[in-house]
Amino acid sequence: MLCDNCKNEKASFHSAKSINGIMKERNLCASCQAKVFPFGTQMGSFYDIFADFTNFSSPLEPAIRKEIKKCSNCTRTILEVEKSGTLGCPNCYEAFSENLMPMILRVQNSTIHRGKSPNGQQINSAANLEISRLKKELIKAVDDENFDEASIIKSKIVELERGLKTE
Amino acid sequence: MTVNRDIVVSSRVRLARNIKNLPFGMKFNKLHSDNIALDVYRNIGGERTGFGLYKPSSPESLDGTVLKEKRLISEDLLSKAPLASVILNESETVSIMIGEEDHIRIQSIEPGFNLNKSFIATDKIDNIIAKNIPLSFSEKLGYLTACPTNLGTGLRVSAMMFLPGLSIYNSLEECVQAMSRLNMAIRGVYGEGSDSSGYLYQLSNQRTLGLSEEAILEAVISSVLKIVEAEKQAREVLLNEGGATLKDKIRRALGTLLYAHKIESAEFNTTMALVKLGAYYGFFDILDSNKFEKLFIEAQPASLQSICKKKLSQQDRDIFRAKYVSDVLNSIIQINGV
Repeated sequence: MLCDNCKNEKASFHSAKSINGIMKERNLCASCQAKVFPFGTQMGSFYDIFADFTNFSSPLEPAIRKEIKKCSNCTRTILEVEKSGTLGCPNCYEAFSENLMPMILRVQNSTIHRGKSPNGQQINSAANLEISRLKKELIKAVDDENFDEASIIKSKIVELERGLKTE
Repeated sequence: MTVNRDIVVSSRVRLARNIKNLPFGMKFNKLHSDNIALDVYRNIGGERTGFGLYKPSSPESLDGTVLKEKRLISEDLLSKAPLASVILNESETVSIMIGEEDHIRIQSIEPGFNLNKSFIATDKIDNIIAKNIPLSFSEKLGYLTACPTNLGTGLRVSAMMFLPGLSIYNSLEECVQAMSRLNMAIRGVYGEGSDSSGYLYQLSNQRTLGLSEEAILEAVISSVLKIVEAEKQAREVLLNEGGATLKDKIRRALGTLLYAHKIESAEFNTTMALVKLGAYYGFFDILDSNKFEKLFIEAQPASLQSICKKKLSQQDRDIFRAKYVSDVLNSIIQINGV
């Protein structure tokens, strides 16, 4: 089989993917595979991410859809979201929750935030990170019997921890 | 493990934030953009703390393109000029992009392998901004972003890596697969898949939700170290198998950079990459590694014109590049043996 792209070389990379229920095949030679998809296709694009985002059959057939979901805040429709790969406003997350959540779970492997927040919880992550780095250094300094350095590191940790408590 | 700039070129951390109750980027307008830029600028202390506020005049502007070549702003931000702005610190290690896909993107770039330092810099600015500017945040989903791939922490941690060993041995595909299982992505930086890429790749986290910032940071650091180890081994094999042919190719590349009359961008990327590999093998010494690394950016089209202080035709640019590169390399390279 010849390469779909250059039509010259033998195709050695074959892939098939279902996008909105339509199977798409791709057969490329090694050189075109490297040019077109330098790292294979598993990375996906925003469009791939959104490919099975909705239950609709195809973005080209809006007429057959009974009702097109719309965000009440920014008026963006699910079709626009699907086409651009981006949401219109924070409210879109709620408006299109039913469609978004399965996709978020698949891409992020979670739907629950575990990081910092603007209201101060875990807000000192940088300081905590520095403390954990210093603690590792402290263990190493003690292991190496480098007690002068260990003492300096210890006081840095104490200072950072004091800073966290006073904030 | 000591990791030099000959494998990890630079470390970058980026946080995506949006202002509460405002539409995301696509519906962003000039008034919003200017107000947010000024608000953020004032909050982080403005000029007093050594920051400057810039506004590229158009997507084609020389100053804007120079910032893009230095990776201080993204292609997307530049395309939105003159609506978008960027706040930069004096040492050009921190840039805050206003009006990108998300309203605020805080970015820190450090030379070499220094992801912790970059993270601390962005986290600090984020804390200052969060104190006074209401951000779009949900208890469940975290920081709300225009694209769900940035949702949650809004954190992208990435290392720019120079990987000639793995590229030449076609082992990158395996690394990409292995990293993908760890939810890490490896992408070519420019000219993907061709020799002109200069073997530069970016490794970054794919997941931004469901993990703490520290967990994401540590996962990227440990992935970078795995790739560094694989690259070191590949370089050893390359040296053993390549022998005189490899040495010849590298020295010819240096010859081109030192004596050519004109050099195109793609040829510069390829030959500089080989020279960098040659320095790793000890074929020559680089007396000033900062100057050497800086040359990769200085030789890009807009940066060259900025150095030359005038607009140049492509041919004149290639001639100027050849002379500039030759002058710099002559002053910092010492060839060992024959």
